[in-house]
Amino acid sequence: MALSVNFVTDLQELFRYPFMQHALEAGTIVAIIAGIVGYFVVLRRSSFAAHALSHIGFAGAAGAVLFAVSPVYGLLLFTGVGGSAMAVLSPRAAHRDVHIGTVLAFMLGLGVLFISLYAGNSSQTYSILFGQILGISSGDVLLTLAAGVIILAVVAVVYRPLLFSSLDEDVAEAKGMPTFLLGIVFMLLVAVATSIAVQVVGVLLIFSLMVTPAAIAQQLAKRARTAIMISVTIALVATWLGLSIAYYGPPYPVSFYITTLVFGFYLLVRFVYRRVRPLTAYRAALKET
Amino acid sequence: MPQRHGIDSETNIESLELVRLAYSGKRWGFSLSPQDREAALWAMRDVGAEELAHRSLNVLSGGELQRIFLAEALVSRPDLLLLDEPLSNLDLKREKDLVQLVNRVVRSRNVTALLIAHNINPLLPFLDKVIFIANGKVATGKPEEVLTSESLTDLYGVPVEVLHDSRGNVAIVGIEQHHGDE
Repeated sequence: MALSVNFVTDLQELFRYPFMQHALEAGTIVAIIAGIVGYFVVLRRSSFAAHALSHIGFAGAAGAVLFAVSPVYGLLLFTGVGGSAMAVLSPRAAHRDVHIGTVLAFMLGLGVLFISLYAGNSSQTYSILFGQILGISSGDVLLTLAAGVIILAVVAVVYRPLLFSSLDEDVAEAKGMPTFLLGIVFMLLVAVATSIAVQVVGVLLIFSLMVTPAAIAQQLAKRARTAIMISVTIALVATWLGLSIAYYGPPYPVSFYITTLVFGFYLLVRFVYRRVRPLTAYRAALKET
Repeated sequence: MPQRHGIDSETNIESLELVRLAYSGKRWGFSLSPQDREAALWAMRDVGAEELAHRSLNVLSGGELQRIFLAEALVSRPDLLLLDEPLSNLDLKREKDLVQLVNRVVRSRNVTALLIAHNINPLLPFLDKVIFIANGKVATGKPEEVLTSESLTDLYGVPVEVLHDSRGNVAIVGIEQHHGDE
């Protein structure tokens, strides 16, 4: 497929095959969800927990494959149970690393066992680890949509309390907010978001959608809502561009393109924007005087 | 107001948003409302932090942060303000400023403040009641009753002296034991 000069026909061409439609649909939902949930992950400093949840999901997905069930159910089950367990066992977000790491290593081991027990081909394992956005069925899209709608609804309800307790858990607790419950809700949000995002970027590359866009957004905006919008935009642009490049350009894995684009944004903000910003602030100050 | 906050150099959120959330964060739902903006600005004005409203938390100094945290605690109009070691990271000037600020705010709003401190001296001019805890023993009462050389020496188990200077200032100091001083 070659790019033509007509942008509209190029866009239509992207939607020509069902596998591309499904990829774009699921990719869009996942990017929106990951961008939103990711902001809370970054604000709560729970990126290690998010990382671990995806690995716990790997064991679940490998187990599901072993029992000939769709991997996403294994992912949902394992990340849901694992996430709640993390929230309940260690209620203080900041001190969870050691517990999480312990469970994470065990779960990866379990995943390896399931893979070795599974006699079939290893392509499914590969797609769980690195994502298989071009292999998404219409049923997967519906499931992704349902999960996405549920996450959006839950976030709309808990947004304010979750935002405050993520920002300042001690004061939130002192003011009588249900921080323990919010911790569990948060982990379940991450669990579901991780489970659907695995289809797009895989267990190992989940950071590129769940953490990096939000981390970039946090550098750019000092209001939560603006930051969430930026985070979603970055995730969306990376997903769409990644898919388009893989379609028109060299046929390398889509998840490679997505992670590279997100990393590019990160470098740009980290090293270029941060140098430029003090300068513009300085010039603005000069103008005022 | 906890001794240590989770907020650090990574927290790029403007202080107004933190104080607004402290006001309305308890309610479920999505958007921040004009009321919480009003309440937040009013609390920030009371602690002399209105010019910090649109600054990000990660660029504020320790003293500025303490004022924001005080506004955060005050904004929901509590009856009791709990301040855990609010003076622990401040220099002498800021320490004095903060104590005076807390005193002013607490009296103008009719709020009870329970302030925990290791060093009682900067607080002495403003105390209504003291609960002194040391070595598993407690002494409680009005400052002039509790803060005497005898009761504090008894409490700490080491000699302590309450000094009064010519201007009426009071200071509490531990006394070196001089052996063979007789």
